[in-house]
Amino acid sequence: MSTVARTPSTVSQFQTVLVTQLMQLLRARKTIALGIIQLLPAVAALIYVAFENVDGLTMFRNIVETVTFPFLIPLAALFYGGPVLVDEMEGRTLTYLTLRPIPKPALYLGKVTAGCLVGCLVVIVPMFVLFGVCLATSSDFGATISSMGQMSAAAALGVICYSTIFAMLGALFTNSLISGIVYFVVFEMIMAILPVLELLSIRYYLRTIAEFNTSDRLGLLDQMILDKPIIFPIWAGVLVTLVIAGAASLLGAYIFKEKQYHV
Amino acid sequence: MSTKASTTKQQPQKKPAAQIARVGQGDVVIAARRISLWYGPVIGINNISIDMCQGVIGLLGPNGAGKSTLLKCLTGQLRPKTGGVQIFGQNVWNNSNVFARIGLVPEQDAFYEEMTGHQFVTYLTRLQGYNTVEAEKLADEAIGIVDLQDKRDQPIRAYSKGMRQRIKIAQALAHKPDVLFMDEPLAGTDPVGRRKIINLIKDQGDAGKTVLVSSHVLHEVEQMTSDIVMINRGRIIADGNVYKIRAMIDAHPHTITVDIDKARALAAKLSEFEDVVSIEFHDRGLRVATTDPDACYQRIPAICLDNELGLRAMTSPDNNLMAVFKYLVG
Repeated sequence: MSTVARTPSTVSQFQTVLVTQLMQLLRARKTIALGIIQLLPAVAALIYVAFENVDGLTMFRNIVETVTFPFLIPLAALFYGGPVLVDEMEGRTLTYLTLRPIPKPALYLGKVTAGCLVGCLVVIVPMFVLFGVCLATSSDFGATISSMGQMSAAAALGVICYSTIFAMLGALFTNSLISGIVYFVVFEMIMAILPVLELLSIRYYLRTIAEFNTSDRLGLLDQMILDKPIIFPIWAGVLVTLVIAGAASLLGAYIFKEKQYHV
Repeated sequence: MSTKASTTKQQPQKKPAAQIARVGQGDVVIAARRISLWYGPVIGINNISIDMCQGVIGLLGPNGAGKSTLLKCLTGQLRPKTGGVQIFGQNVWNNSNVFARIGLVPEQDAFYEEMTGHQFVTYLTRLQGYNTVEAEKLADEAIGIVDLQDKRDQPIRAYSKGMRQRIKIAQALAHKPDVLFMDEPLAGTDPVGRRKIINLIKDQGDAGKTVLVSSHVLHEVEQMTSDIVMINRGRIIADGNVYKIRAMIDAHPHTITVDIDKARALAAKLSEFEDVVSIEFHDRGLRVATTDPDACYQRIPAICLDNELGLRAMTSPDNNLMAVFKYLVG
């Protein structure tokens, strides 16, 4: 069998990287740890439901808005987005992959896609568990189901967006954790509370997609320069997050292709 | 005096910077031209031009000489700051077509520890463009070549150092590459495993492949090939046939350490020979500097035996490659 005659299929190689990475991530200890963390809101809700008379939908929305969106989604992306390449660099296994006849962008995208899929799974499954807990005390079943679908879609887009950004930062700085945390603090914690600049945060668009607090979004700082809150339609939120994820993926793939890694 | 010894009076030739070194037989497979790479103020490799042909080629140099940096440039892991590298006439950097024809045994002891040996080799072979069935078959073959069949389904984390080294070689061989780069392939192997790997490397060379083996141990490389490149401080300082290099080395005084009971008696006998440059005594015997090490190695046991001088051991610190390089760059 000659190596000269072979013309490897990039799609097939992409699938191989994707499936292998998926299997590795699903079996990883960090997935169990993160799964437990992601289930904590459901456990808390269960305790709350047992002792308090609350409306399920309201509680579900509040938990997702105040815990899942600002913390648990970025956390999942920090676990699965940034490390896709950095783990290979730090484990010094990247050499095995980069010396194969697979285009580097395909290798990068295969690993990032796997990270996004597992991240979505780890975030959304606990959201469904939380939803199940809250459903028991909901007065409006139909509205609750519709709201759950909307929030799940926003959560998935959030995981994808953050993961692609963290992966790109990992490819650029060869360190996923510090660069990811710096990004999160600057864009998602500081800018997210500043008027107009909040448009640079992912969280703003996730709230738009999930329709969180659209009526009272005008904070103290906003009132100094705005008469009414900036509110985009849902489709615009979806479009922006998709564009950000696509741009971050392409940029990350380009950086990975051109950059030298001293493994 | 042997024919090899007759060449010992040659002076070593330092390579001019612009000269293109050439090693191996047949057509040029790897061509590097004026490649340099530095890390900040530290020079990794400096203006190297070399043509590598078929067969096994030893890349020799002490630790920190630039062997790994050169290998990384030749395999396209690093892009030289100046110059370029071609394999089979194609640029290496970011060229996945070239990667279909090369295999690498990296220096680092790094693996996907949770995978079994078979999964590891199959996964990497699939990335060469083979489907699962083909990749599994090739992985089985390669694992057979490195003699790990009975351990193929164990996780790599349970492998010994020697087994890890062999599975690394299997992943490099599985897709039957035309060019094989091996960075310190004998590190951590036991004598039996070492012999098998040496034979395997020689077989690859005999099959017409280009096998570049990096090592800092001269005698290991000598068992695989006579074509060597010597590198120090990022520069090629000698290339060609190992005997030529040996002759250059042998032209310089070569130290032999002798552990012996009657050191003064042996010193008196040795001082009669012209090739003996100096004799120093130490607490367990003496150190002899000679310009004809082959003859001296034969002579010392004979004198000791004839005169019952109580020879205990005879070692040469010059087998250490660092000493060889001190001679050459000296």
